[in-house]
Amino acid sequence: MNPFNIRPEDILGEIHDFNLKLAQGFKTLGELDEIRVGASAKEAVYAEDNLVLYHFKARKKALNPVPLLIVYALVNRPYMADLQDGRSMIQGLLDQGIDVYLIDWGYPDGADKYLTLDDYINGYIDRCVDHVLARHGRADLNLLGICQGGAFSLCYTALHQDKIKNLITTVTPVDFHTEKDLLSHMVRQVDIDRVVDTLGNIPGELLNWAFLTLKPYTLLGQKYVDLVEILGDKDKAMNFMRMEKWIFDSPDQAGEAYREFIKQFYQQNGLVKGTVKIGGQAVDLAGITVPVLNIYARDDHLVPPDSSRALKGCVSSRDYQALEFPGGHIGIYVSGKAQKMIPPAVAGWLAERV
Amino acid sequence: MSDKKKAASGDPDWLAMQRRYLDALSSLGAGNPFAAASPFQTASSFSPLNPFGAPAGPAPGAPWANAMHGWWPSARPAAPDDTRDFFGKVLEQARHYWSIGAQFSKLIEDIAACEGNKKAILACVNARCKALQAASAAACNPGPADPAQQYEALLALLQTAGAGLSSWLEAGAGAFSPGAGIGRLRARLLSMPGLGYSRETQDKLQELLRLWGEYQDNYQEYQSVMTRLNQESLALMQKAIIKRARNDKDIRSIKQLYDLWIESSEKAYGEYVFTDEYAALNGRLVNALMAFRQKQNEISEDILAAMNMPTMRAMNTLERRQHQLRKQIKTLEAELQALKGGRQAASPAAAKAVKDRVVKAATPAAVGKQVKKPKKKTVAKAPAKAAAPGAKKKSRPRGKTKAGGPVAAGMIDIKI
Repeated sequence: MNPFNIRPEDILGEIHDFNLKLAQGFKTLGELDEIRVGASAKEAVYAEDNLVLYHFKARKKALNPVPLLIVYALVNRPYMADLQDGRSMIQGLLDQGIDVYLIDWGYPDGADKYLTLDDYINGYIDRCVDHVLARHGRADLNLLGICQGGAFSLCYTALHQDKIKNLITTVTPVDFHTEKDLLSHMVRQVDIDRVVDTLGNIPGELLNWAFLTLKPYTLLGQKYVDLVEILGDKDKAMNFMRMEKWIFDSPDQAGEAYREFIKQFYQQNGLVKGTVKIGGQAVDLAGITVPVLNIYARDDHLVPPDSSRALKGCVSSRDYQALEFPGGHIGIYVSGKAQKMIPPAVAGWLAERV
Repeated sequence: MSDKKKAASGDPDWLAMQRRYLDALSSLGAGNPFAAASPFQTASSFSPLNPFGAPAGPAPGAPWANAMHGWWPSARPAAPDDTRDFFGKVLEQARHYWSIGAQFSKLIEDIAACEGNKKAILACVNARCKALQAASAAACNPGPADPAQQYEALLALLQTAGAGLSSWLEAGAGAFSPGAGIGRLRARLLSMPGLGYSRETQDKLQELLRLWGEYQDNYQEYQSVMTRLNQESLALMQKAIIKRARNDKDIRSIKQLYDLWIESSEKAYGEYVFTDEYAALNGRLVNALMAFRQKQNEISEDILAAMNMPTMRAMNTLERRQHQLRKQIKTLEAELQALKGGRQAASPAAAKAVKDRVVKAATPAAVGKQVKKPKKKTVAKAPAKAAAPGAKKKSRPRGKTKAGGPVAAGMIDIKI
């Protein structure tokens, strides 16, 4: 029962190969061009404070007359949805004839410390929605929320339903107290008031650290050892570096909005309990009756599938569908599988609800 | 049985060859000035995330790591900034891989000497894993930090925060002796009553000291837990190695061993972090750190204010007022737009809808907390079976879409 079938020369050979790849990888990294993100042509059509609203240029004749507005999370940057050619949900949507807009929140600074969820949802999002509606001469549009942006989209729809034709949520946390929600578990006993009162805006590095501690050995260790295997390939190395750039490109969080979000959503689980208040207005998900497509990722370690699936029992939409993506929280936007599955599914679902 | 195993078993001199290779492997470190030292790395290189003691620099018995350490400083300056930092991170992680290679080479050597005796092999595996656990535990818990260093750090902290309180600090410093550790000094400084015009400042410093102590205690506790988890992960790894051997799923590479360690570590960590104990511990640690930082900020603010310099308090006030003003301007702009006749909407219906919304947005409730708002209905709760806008359309049979094809693929068709 020798547990090891390794000969000494194998060990030598393996480590020798590893070191060679490492050295080669260093050469490859040095030769890489500047890391570029964003695959699709776009123009800024509205700006306010740090926010920019982008309109993506059509890649084919619009098949769906209803514009789609994407609301990204405040955490990390929205170019995840348009990372690179062939790995872009937005590119896929454009190819499906969808007219796409995207809110880029920018990087909040000290002057944004007192921005509240009311400012984000009833302020920024609402003004972006109005702007898109005015451009299209319409009374309503399609809304697609990503992760925390999905939670914002739910709140927005509950408060401004007359402007929303169809709602799509992707990897969106709804029930924040499900069994596998480690992020929620970690902040359950943290005094958020004290954190915000002490730090003001919440540094992006702090959030990075929190995300890494969900799987520290894999994300801080194994990932980089595995990387050595692909460092000889320039394209693969560039893809890795692009993703790495995105992961650590974390804007600071406006303190007050962070306080409200963590307390009301994570700690009090207010979205499913109906206790969330935005600008003094109660957010009642049961008031949502527009068609809803809820897309979640089966292997999501940040937003457990159960957390997203809970939406079904919260909204009153008679036209509700859920779509499970066989992958993780990020893979749903950038994997090859996602490119084939998500944009066509969204476009098809919207086409039926024009 | 694998081909590799067959080949190995079929070679009568394999054990001898293995020994020769291991000898050769050991000799790789012979030219290293550290080679004569213990085969284990220095204790300080261990940490909960580094149970194999991957060295941060050249280390005894780590020829692979040392080779890269020798190469990296010469290659580093030529690298672009981004690449340099990133590659440094990769190298840091590669050290764990090399360390696993080094540690398990020893085990393979031991097993080779067992010459197929199952009991002896099992004993070797257990002994090596236990040795790793013991070394890791000892290194992760190096005991109390150097009291003299702690004292210096504490004094620096208090002196920065407590200008003008030198007499208090000097009096407290008299209580310090390296043998007694930092605890006695802390107790002495905390117990001294404040007197005179600097009494309030001294109170704040004492509170700061108390909070610092609380944070240190929580941090120690957190570190101990992480060390315990590290032990558990090594124990899990040991079990996994034995289980694989019993199931004839032998380990064929150092990378497999490394992955096994990662898997065991994530398992041990994952099981613990979902406990209430961890939520409480993490809460205590963060809260203690924030309480300390808050007090530190408060004392710094006092010093800045005394020097007539801008303070964070003043900045906060300005930023809050600026935020309120900004919000009021947005509301006024919306009102103005409404009065001008709404946005340039293409259809009269859309124009009316936009105008209605702007008027609604301009109600006192939307202006913010400065204006006392009348009780007003928010979004009406729809009845559970209310007709959705999409409901007026004929519903399609399950699994079929107008466009057909991709929407149905993979869709879990749940209608409520």
